[in-house]
Amino acid sequence: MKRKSLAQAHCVQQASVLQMELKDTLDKLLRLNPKSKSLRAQRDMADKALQRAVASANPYAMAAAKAYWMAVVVQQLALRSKQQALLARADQQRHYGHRQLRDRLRSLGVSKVASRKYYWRALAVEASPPASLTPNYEPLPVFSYMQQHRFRFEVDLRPKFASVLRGMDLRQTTECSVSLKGEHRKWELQIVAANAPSKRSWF
Amino acid sequence: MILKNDAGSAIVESLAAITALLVFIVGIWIGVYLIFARAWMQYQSEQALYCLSESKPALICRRALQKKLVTGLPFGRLGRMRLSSAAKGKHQNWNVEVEWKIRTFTLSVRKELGTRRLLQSRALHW
Repeated sequence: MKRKSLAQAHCVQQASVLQMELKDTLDKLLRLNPKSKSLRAQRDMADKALQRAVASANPYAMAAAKAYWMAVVVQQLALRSKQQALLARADQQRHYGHRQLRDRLRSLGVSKVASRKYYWRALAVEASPPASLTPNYEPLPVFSYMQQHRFRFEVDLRPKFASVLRGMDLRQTTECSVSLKGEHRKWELQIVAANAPSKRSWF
Repeated sequence: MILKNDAGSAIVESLAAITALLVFIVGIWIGVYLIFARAWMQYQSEQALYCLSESKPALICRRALQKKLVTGLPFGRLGRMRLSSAAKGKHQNWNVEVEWKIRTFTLSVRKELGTRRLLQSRALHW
């Protein structure tokens, strides 16, 4: 009972810490949106200016339009690399969080540690417009559900000294899941699951 | 008066020994039960806190806790029980207070869980 309780506490705590770390990365990613929007507008202007310059066949206008276009694209590439770095960092945080929980649970005689993700990215955001060099990253409509990260493991309920129970299967599956919820981009922790799904009704 | 044999004395002595043994066994049994009751209360209070933290209605968590305590503890009765949730700024706190009465003796458990505590690596343990 104590072992299961400790494992549960570790699980909820680690999942909460992981989501708080992801929250910081998410905030940073969303803060880049105004800049990416303005760069997309500048890129539209640069594209049109270049088209007009090419149509005019004026070499000076073409050179100026091309230089402006290049400057905008370079800024876009720089911003894109920041966005991609933040998304990669979130993936690393998720990977590290899972590894840390596995290490913490190992000492408690816990087995079959598994983690389930609900979205292919560590942050439940989608690029809009997806084909843009610098898209806005917006939280998905069902953000809280998709952002959760669920850990599941088995705890052996037999006390170490109870050798008479050796033949009995007293393992119990336990899981926990934490996500983020937020209104107006103020993210808070949301514990989605912390109770053990029990095989035995009296537990 | 002189006793003809020691049979009566043996009965008295064995009665005293049996009584002492019974008192000892009952004492041990009560001690074990109290330790188990406390551990059970701690564990179930913790489960109730997790239930609250999942944003389930307090009434459901309260009923579940009550059922587990009454089922798991055959001796005694439920005393005071309080489950509450409170928001402190960005952080959420959940509290459970529960009492189990065995005649005049009362076991009480109070537990608290909060998002701030979780993030400061001070999750529940007992």
